[in-house]
Parts: sequence; structure tokens; C-alpha cells
Amino acid sequence: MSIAVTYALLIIGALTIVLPLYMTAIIPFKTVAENTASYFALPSRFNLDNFRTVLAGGRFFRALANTAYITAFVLLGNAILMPMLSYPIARSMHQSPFYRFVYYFILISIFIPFQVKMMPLVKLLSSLRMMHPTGLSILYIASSIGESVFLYVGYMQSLPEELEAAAYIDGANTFQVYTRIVVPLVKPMMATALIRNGLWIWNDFLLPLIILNRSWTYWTLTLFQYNFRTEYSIDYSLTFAALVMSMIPIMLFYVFAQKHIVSGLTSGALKG
Amino acid sequence: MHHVLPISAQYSVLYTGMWVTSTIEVEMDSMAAGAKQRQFSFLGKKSKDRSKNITFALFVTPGLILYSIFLVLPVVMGVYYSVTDWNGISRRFNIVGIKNYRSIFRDSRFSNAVLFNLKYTVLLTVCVVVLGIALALLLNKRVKGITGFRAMYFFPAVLSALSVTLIFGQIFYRVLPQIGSKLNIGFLQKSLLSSKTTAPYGVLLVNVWQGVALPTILFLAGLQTIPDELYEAAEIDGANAWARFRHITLPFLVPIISIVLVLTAKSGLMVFEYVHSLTDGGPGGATESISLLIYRHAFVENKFAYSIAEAMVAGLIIAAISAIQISISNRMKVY
Amino acid sequence: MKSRSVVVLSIIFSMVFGLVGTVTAKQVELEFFLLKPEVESVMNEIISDFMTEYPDIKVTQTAVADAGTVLLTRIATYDMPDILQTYPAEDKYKHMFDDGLLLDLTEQPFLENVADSMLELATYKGRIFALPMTLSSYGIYYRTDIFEELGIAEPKTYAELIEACKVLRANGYDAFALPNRDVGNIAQRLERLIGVLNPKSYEEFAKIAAGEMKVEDSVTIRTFAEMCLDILRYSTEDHLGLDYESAVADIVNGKAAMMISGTWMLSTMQKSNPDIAVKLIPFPSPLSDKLLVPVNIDTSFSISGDLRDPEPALKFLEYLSRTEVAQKYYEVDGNVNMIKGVVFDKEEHMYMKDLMDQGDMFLTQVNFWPTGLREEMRIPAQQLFIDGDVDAFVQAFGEAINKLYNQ
Repeated sequence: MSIAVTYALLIIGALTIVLPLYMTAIIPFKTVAENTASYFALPSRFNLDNFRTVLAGGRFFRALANTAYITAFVLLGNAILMPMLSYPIARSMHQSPFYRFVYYFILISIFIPFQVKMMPLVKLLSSLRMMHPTGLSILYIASSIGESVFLYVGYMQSLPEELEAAAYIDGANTFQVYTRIVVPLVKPMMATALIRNGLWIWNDFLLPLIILNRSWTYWTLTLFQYNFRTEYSIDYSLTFAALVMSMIPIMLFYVFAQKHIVSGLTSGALKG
Repeated sequence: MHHVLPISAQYSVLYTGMWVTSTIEVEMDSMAAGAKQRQFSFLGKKSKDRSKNITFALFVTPGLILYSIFLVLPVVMGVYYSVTDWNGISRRFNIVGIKNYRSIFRDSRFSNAVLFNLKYTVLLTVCVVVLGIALALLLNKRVKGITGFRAMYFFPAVLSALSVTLIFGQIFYRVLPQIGSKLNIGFLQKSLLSSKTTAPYGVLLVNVWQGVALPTILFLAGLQTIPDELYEAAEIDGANAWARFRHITLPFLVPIISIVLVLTAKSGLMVFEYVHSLTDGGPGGATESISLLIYRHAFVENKFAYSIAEAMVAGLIIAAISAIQISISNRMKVY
Repeated sequence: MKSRSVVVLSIIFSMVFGLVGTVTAKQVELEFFLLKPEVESVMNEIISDFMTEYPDIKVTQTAVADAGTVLLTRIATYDMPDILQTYPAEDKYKHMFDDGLLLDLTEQPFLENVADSMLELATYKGRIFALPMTLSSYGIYYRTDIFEELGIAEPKTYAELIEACKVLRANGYDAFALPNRDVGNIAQRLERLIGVLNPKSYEEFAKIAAGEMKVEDSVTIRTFAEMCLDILRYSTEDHLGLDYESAVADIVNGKAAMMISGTWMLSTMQKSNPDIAVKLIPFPSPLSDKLLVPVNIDTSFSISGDLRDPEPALKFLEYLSRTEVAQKYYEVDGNVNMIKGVVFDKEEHMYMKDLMDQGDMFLTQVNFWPTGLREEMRIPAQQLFIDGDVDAFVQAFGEAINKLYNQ
């Protein structure tokens, strides 16, 4: 493919992204009246009022802190627990009926509709006194088990076992084999799992809604964004100001970490 | 599991003589060797085996405890509620047996929703996989400014579903019809969401627009694992672009494709937010998904027990389908 | 090495178990749970005034996103707020009262501050479980400036309304902005306008369900369908693509001249244009020349039945029932306030208020229909707007009535 064709295709694709990007960026700089007149027109003047309103009262920063705390907690817990859970399954499920059962038993949960367990979860968390960000984080870690096990087990099975066998021969115990050989090798999949989970938790609405409903001090960013709508109407100007503010951290993270993400995903893939 | 072997053997035959045999055979062999080695190297060392079993047991314990408390227990509680007449509010309710389940099978809205989800999921997975690979190939080109393009193509993934649907609601109503009128494309002259035939595609478009971003990055990562020498060798052998894609690129992407298939299928089968805020199931019920139906019964119509029963049935259907799908993609993974 | 593994494992276990035990501080104060986020700040002011008067009572307001869903989950977990907003005419809240979740307020002296007609609307099985404060009403918002410019008189009859539609269309306006992408909006329109045609529609439906009447013979249902199709002819072209926000924008931008909506829409329009020239009038029935206003009880306050000592909460309700407090609430809320002595000055809604004062109002039908009938009709009603098939709509309505009355 020639360079010109490559650029042409890249630009066509980018155009479908630019319009929504443009709207997301422009809406919060306009007053409600300007947005009602047109969501597409440029603002009449450089106007930061919406951002000021959104930032006033400190609720945004509280929500940002809560979301960051929950996301960090879950990602840490996920990164520690899920490869640990998956490794024995990946290495034993072909011989051990127990681990085979565990694998499929866990896999089922990927496809259980959330509504089945929603009300029971609320009751459960309430009786365990876990209706706070930490409680929600633990619930998130548990909820990510199905998908994580699916990702890690599949990946671990594709890793050659010679290295592990060699380490055993050198006298390492299972825990050492796991931390020194397996963990470095699963890093690409870890990057995948963490990105997926991170984006999910950052943008999740329903679980925070039903678990963190006691007061705004527990709010996450999605609950904060929802705050600018009533039963009948949405304030686009403020909602998008809140949305943009909430996006900035992950956007920055992605821009700075892009190289590491892609290389994290690919490192170790050149195995053998 | 014994049927796996003939299939993998078959695949290895298929792959013989292809450009990538070397790498793939290493994996094949390593798996087989691993299995052998396990028997050979561990059987004799009982104590080492026992300590390994204990470590393994310790490894899975925290995960299994979490799983039992926060997934198994709620589902069991859900089964219990599904045989009651609980409306979600009352503190008193009665056990009504399988009455809720019987009414589900008489409800045409439920079967319509199931059908919608199935069609939608098939379309969504096909679109995401095909488009994801195409975009990854494009973003893998070494041209100037590609880093910027990569960042931009990832942008949809960081938006919340709320903002995506608000923006596309406006684009569908105000932008696309103008383009449709100018270019004289009949179905585009009104909002895609206003007709029963186009509305599912409108929702799909938004879902693909956002849902393809992360798979693209995964495919891109997969592409970067392919050694350049393979392509160079193929070129010397006179393979055309399609042959190179078919015999070098695709085999390397197979594991990622199987992951993307399962994850996308999951999001398609559970689709809620896109339909909820773009069409709310309309027009005329054309986009009513299972999740939306369950949500409405639970929170709008106060039929809580019934909605949980619906979720149970939906879960069973989905589990059956995904069991088939996972077994297919597992076979794909065994090269 | 061993010690490191122990450390890691103990970190994990403490993550799993240690934090489960974290207990949120037990609230000693009263919690007030808000359903209408738009009045959060004025309620905060009212609460702080209240606490100045009663320094020994601490009221904290909980205002959360999607409060209706949240309230449901809290009831299910036996976590009832102490004081809460309710909609006492709705089934859900009547069930809550039946279950003993809401305190009986019938004998409370502060109810004397509420207009009698309002108390009547809020009475359930002879009891009152909420302090009812405001009434929302529903009708047609029209742009008075556009009507004036085209020389159209305010429509008082259905014939005049259709006449106005024709003139508007001829002059390039959409007569109505119809947000038919929004099925919730359609369902609400159906329920309110059927009430305009027949404020006792539930009696007719009960007869249909009992087999004493055929749904095909229901003038109410058929007229409603035909009326919708009449209006559609003069309305937004791509009505199935139009959502509520864009419909309001069409009114503000002067693309459309009328919109069928409720009193909550005024503040949304005024946010875009504080001086917008609009007026709310009742929807004229094709079946009668008498103008009737569909109303619903909007802001109301109830107390949890779980409170061991309801006295402080009752003090708060008494405070809310005072004229000057209700007046303060009205300034932000804008709905007709039924606390005695509150001065109403919203020109846009004055006509409705006058009709309501004369008693030309009825409680909207959803309060009398079985739970779920309105929602069950969402799809058939939208279908009517798609294919214009009145017979199919009537049939579907009959099926929904049979299903929900005979559950």
C-alpha cells in the first residue's frame, strides 16, 4: 500500500472520530443558550463558566479521588490475585478434574446477566457493611474474576513450560517459579486485563449507583456527571464539562503511556 | 479432551509448508512436551509435588473465596427470588414456584429481545473483529505521525457510554440526514434511529465506533510480534499481499481474535446503555434488548421477581451459546 | 523468600477480609432523601434555616443520581431514609404505605396548612401518608409571539387547535415538536391525553377487562389514536428521530410553535432563553368543549415508618408546611403550590392555575391504572406513530388491559 493511500485511509477514519471529538471539546465552552441554538457551532467567546460551576464546591475533586482510589485498588488487586488464581488452573486443568471444574465454573460467570445478582448484591454488601468505596472495590475485583481467568488461563496455556521445568530442576519452589518466571511472561496479558478493567471501572455507572448511594462524599465521576440531569432534562453544557474533566486523566495517561502499553502488550510475545 | 489432539494434528498438517511453521511448531511442540515433561519430571518427586499442590491451593483460595461470596451466593439468592412474587419494595412476599418462568415463555417481548440480542451480537462481533484488524494493519504502517493517529483512534474507548450516546444522538438527527439529502441516499435522509429497519444498525454503529478501539490496540500489539523477516522471506518467494495476510498475519492474530470474539460477544449479549439512551428499545420495540427488558420490568414496572427469572433464562441461553463459542475459539487456539 | 511470600499473602488476605469490617459511622441525625435534583440547593437553604430554629436536630440531605432506583435498593436493604420525597398518588408509594414503610400523617395538625382539594387528592384508603405540597400540570406550551405574529388566537377547542396547526404549517413552522424517539415521553403523553378525553378511563378499562365492553367500542382509545395522527400531520417531520432535548430546542429556536408537555419544561426553556414568550394551556378535547387540566402531585414529603421516635421528623414536616417556607420553595420549583397563602406569579402558568382553582382538574390516570399499563403501551403507541394503524393500536391496548387487569 502506498503512503498516499495509507494517509487517505487514516484520515478518513480520523474524520469519523474528529466530529465527536470536536463536539465533546466544544460543548462545555458554550452556554446552555448557545448549545440549544446549535451543538455544532463554535462558542461565541472563550468561556470557562461551565468548568467553574463543575469544579465549585469540591465535589468533582472528591469524585475524582474516589474514582482514582477505586480504580487503583481494583487494578492492584486484580494484578495480584487473578494471575495467581489462573496459574494453577492453566497448569492443572488438563490433569485435575477439580481445576477443570473450577475453570468452567468461573467462566460461566462472564455470561450471567448483571440483573440476576444486582439486588442480592446490594443486600449482601449492605449486611456486610461494605457500602463504601473499598467495599465496592472488592466487589469489582470479584466481578472481574470471570473475564480475567478467561484471559490469563488462555494466555498461560500458550506459554512454553520448559522454563518452569528448568527452574524446578534448579531447585526453585512453585512460588519462586511463579514470581520469577510466570509473572514476567504474563505481563502482556496483564496490560490487556488492566486496561480493560481500568476503562470499565472508570466509566461504570450502575454499581456505584446502587452501592455508593449514601452521600456525595462517596460519589464516583460517573455519578458526578449524572448530577446535571433531572428526570426530564440534561444540561449538556455542565454534563460535558464534567465529562471532559473526567476524561482528561485517562487521556493523559494514555498519551504518556501509549508506548509502554503497546510494548507491554507485545513484550514477551517474542518467546521461545 | 482427547479430541483436541487430532484437531491440533490436523492444524499442524495444514500449517506445514507455510511461512510461519517454525514459530507455531515451537508452540505446538512445547505444549506437547510440557504435558510429557510434567509426568516425567514430577511423578518421581512426591514431596515437591505436594508442596506444589499446596502452593496452588493457596493461590486459588483468595480468588475462590471472593468468587463464592460475590458471585455464587448472589446468584443462588437470585434463584430464590425468581420463584417468589417479590415486587422489589414489599417486605413480605410469597413463593410462587415456577409461575414466573412459565409466563416468560408466553411473552413474545422476551423472545423478540432474545432474537434481537443474537442478531446484534453476531453483527457486532463480525464488525469489531474485521474492522479492528483492518485498523490495526493501518496503524501498524511506519509512516510519519502514526503515534498521533494511534492516540486518536483510541479516543472513543475513553469516553463514557453516556457522552457517546448524547453526541451520536445529535449526529444522527442533525448531521447524517444533511449528508443523506445532499448525496440523495434514501435511508439517510431521516435519523437512522427513526426507522425500525435502520435503528438496530444505528445502535450498532455507535457500539462499533466505541467498541473497536480497544480490540484495535490488541490487534496492533499482535501485529508487532510478527518478525519482519517472515514478510521479507515471503516477498522473496513471490507471495502477494493477500497470501502474506492469510498465511503470516492471520495465524499470529488467532489468539487475539479468540479473545476479542468472547469479550465482544459478551458486550453484545449484555448490551444495555447504548440502546437505553439511543432508542430506549424503539422504534416500535425494534431494539429492545434482554438487559433493557429486564431493567424495565425490575425498575419501571415493579415486577422484580419476574425480572430476575427473565435474567435467569437469558443467562442459561447465553451460557449455552457461549459454551459453544468458547469451545470453537479454544479449537482455534490449538494451532 | 518464605517471608516475602507470607507478606504478600497476608496483604491479600487483609485486602479480602480486613476491610470488610470497616464500619461506616452511625448517623445520629435525620436523613432527608431527595427525588428531584433540581431543588437540591433550595432544600439545602430550607434545611439550614430549619436547623437554626431547631439546633438540636441535624438534617442532612441526600441528593443522588437516579434517585428512584437508589430509593428502591435502599428499601430492599432495610435502609429507609428518615424523611423522603414521595409521589403519594403513585402505586409504588401506596404499596410502601401498605407495608408500613411510611408513617401515617392523617392526624397531624400541620396538614391544615394544605388546601383541602390537595388533601383530597393525596388521600389513600382514608389515610394521608405525605405532606403534599405542589401540583404539576400538563398541556400545550405555545410560543405566544409566533401566534401573535401570525394572528392566531389561543385555541380553546380542538377545531381551533387543528386550524392553528394548519396556519403554522402554511407559514413554515412545525405546529408541534413531537419527541417520538423518547418512548417515555410518548407513554406519558398517552396517559395524560387519554385522561383529557375521559378522566375516568379506568372505569372503561375495567369494563373491557371484565368482558362487559369490547375494546373496539372504546371511543376514548380510538379518539386518542386519531387525535395523535391528526397532530402528527402538522408536526416535526422526522419525529421518530427527535428526542426531548432537541424538541425543547426546536421550541426555543422557533422551529416549532407548540409542544405537549408538563410544567417542568418551563425552567428548561428559560435556561436557554430567560425571556422566552410561552404560555401553557390545556389540551382541548375533541369529545367535549370543557377544558380540563391533568394534574399530578409533585413535591410531597413523607416520614419513614421505621423511625423509633418520629417527633423530630414531624417537626421538619411542620416547618415545610409553613407558608413562607413553601413560598421559598415555590420560587425555585415553579409548580402550583398548594400550601395555603403561597403567592403564585408565574404568568406562563397562570391560566392553568385559574382553571385548577375553579376545580377544572383531574388527577392524572396513571394513578388509577394498574402498575405497568402505561409502560406496556410504550411500544404499541410508538408503533402507531410509525404506521398509523389505528385498529392495531386499539387491539394492542385491549390486550394490555386484559393482561394487566387480570393479573
